[in-house]
Amino acid sequence: MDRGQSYEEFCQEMTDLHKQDELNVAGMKTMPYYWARREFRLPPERAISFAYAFMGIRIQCAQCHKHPFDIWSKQDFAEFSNFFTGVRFGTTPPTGEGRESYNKMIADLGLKGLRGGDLRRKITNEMRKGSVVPFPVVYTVAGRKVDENGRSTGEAVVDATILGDTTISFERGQDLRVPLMEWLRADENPYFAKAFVNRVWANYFGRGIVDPPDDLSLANAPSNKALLEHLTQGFIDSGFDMKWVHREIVMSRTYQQTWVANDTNAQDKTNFSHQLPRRLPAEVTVDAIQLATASDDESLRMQQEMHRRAIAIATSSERYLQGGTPEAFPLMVFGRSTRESNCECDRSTDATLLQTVFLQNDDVVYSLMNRRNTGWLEQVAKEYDLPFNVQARNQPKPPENYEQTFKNLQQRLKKLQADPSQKAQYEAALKTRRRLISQFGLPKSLQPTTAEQSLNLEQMQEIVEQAYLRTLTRFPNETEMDRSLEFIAQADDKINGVRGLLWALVNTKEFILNH
Amino acid sequence: MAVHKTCDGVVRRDFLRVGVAGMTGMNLAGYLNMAQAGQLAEAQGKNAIFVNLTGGPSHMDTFDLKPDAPKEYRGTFNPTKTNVSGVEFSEHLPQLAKCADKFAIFRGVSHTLGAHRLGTEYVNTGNRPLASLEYPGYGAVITKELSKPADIPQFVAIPRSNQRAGFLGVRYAPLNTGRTPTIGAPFSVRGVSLGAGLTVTEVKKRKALLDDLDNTFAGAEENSQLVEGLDEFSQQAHAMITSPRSRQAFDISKESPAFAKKFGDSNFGASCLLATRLVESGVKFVTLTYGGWDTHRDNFTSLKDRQLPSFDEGLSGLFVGLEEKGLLDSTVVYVTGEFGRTPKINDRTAEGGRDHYPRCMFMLMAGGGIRGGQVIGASDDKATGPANEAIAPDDVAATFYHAMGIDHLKEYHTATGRPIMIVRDGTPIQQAFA
Repeated sequence: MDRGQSYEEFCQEMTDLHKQDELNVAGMKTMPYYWARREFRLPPERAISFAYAFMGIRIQCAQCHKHPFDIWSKQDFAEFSNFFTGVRFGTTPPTGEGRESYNKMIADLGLKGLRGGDLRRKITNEMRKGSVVPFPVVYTVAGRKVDENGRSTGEAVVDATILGDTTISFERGQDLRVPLMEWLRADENPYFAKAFVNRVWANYFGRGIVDPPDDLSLANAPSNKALLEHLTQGFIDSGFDMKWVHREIVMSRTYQQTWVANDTNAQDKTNFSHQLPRRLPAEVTVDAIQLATASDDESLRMQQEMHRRAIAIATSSERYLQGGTPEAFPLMVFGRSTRESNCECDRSTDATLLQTVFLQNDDVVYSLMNRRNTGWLEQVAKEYDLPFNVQARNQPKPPENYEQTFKNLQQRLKKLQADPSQKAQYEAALKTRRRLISQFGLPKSLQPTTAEQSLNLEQMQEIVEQAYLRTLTRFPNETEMDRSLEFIAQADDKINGVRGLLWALVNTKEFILNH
Repeated sequence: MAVHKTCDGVVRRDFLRVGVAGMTGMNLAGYLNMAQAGQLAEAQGKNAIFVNLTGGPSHMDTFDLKPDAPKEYRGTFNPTKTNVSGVEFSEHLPQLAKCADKFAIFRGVSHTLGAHRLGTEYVNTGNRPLASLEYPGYGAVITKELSKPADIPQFVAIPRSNQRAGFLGVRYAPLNTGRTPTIGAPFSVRGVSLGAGLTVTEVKKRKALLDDLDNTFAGAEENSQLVEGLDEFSQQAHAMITSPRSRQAFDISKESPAFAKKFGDSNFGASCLLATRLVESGVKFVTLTYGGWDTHRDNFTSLKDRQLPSFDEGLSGLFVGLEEKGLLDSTVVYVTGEFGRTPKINDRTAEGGRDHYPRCMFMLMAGGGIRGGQVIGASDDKATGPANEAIAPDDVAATFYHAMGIDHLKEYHTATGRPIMIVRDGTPIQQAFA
């Protein structure tokens, strides 16, 4: 998309995979593997997610009975599913040359006769050894009709009907998706452009012109039909130029409205008379906490390198979300899309008590604030020559003679260091010292004293401004400045004062709400 | 959770149907008269535990067996006697059979929403779902009506809940534990204990700073439930973090092994144990979710080997445990799935399975003045529907609210001023309290 490609071309390429002679999977700019997702292996599942993604409609009701909020029958659904019966994902080419070379490859690996899970496991082992193995790809075969229960009837698909609308006849062996994509991308298609512009709108306003944005059914009317039509037609006229849509929306007066309501529009939630405060999405929240607490260098790196941001985390599986990485828990708590279907409902934007508990008191937030080398607090400490103390969680009380023990160890270290023949002993002692510090911290007498700490007013003002900019992206007003200065001034440990301010700002509603 | 493949199950004309009057055939005026005349028992419920059996448990293989039904309906399970004469359960619920006197069984509960999502919304709110409005779950209503400011969350979901706050606004949403506890192991909700060597004094100082600085949205609470909710959460989170009570309430390893033993060793049992501990500590409403009941295939093996043993031990542990702690009278326990399962066994697999069946299902309720050891309502001889008048989920919901001392006809106003009753179409079932 960064090539200025149109949405229409982008969608077209999703069906073009089988035409390529050579596969360069990692270099693909489009998503042919959309068709291979585990949740979309059966034709009815593909029909449902295709309808969500490109038509913005929820047809799944018609899988079991006539759609209650729209015109589609169970028969229409089954007919529509037929378009998706020809796409396969797997390692076994159906016939011909491909099949022969596959058989040869399997025979060469000594895996002949194995099936299913056994075969998959052995192939994985071979791959680990570095052997050349068959790799699953998306390919197309002649489609077979499915019945109303989604079961294959064995009968060849000779024609199929798009949701009770257009009937398309096929030549034998044709990729059934090609005419479907052509129908989809036609200027007069009632769904394609509308679904897209509505989705972009929803991203900017937290609410679609039709809402939920993937439910463009007859029973779910747009809040402003003329507006939706204007955007739809404009998108088509621009040649499906996605940048046009974004530009048109963000340049509008509507988008630039304040969130502050007046007497006439305070009750309005659907007509975009003012912006509605809404919670940041999960990924943005995680990045915002990172950026607010990162040193200037680190924050620059984050902005330049996409892979450092939460959006670049490729998985959203239950296993990942329950796992131990620092980002997993906040992503789960703030409702990252579970990516089980293409439905908007996979993502949650609700606020919950646990989110507030996280922001106020989670170790992830504390350790981001307290991180060394890449954290803002440490940067402030260095810049203003202040000691940077971090209290560890549940630090146990040191033993009574800790001071003396530690001093003895220091002396021993000095002696050992001077004697190269004692290298092993020196390293062991060094290890002990590290262990003691991580367990009990530095003894009191060796800690920097707080009396040395001082900041003049100007320095404190600079810090407060920095804290506001990196959390709320604005300068503090006078009252806020005074209160913040007072807080830092009262703190014995100045960095701890700044830490308290940063904590408070991350916990304001202004930080977590888009407005 | 699997892919959301909800089938709506609603046909247009269903919306026009007038609400079911319920078992007693009572109308609204009748209810009010009776309540005034003191004919409805005094409410005793102060807390509640809601057990959501997601997927839709088979009624015919648990609490509503039909041993004399034809082979293609009956299934392989045999009935077993309980400690209440004349009441029989499935042979795979031996522990529950020993405490059948503690809870009431509703049979022949009936509705028409055969899709997981809609059925779940129905039984978690007591209102037939509407496209234009999201009803609040029981927990949100209870929190709104009964909770007091406390240093412990008032509504807890283990691990998360199908009960949303709906039009009441997020401030009434539950605290999700995010994971389920394990018997014998320490348990906590992440972030609830005071972090990183902080002292209460220091956290209070910071909180005071936050309260002074968090002013941008002052005055916006009136028009934004989100802003209002975040204010509420900020106070609640602070109260929880600075007090040891929450931390202790969640830690089930603090229970004596003798007490914990009766809950079995499953995660469901541990969740039941946690629920008793939370209620004892002052939590008003706890939801537990126990899934895996969607037995389209191999219904009998799945129930016998996987679902029922944990369910039997965990739930009987809950009833007995609450009673031992003297909490059963003041705690209403409400157990339900989103629907029953088809009486006729399907042929998807050799063993057979049962599919979605909202026309006939069971629900359980105990505590709060509900008389245990009774069966309310009945299904027909093949469990294909109610034998007489149907009990609607709305009626059971009204019964629940009555047991909690809440007028189910109380009106709330949505953000746009639309008046909505807590449960409009239900009537409390008198028999439950008699």
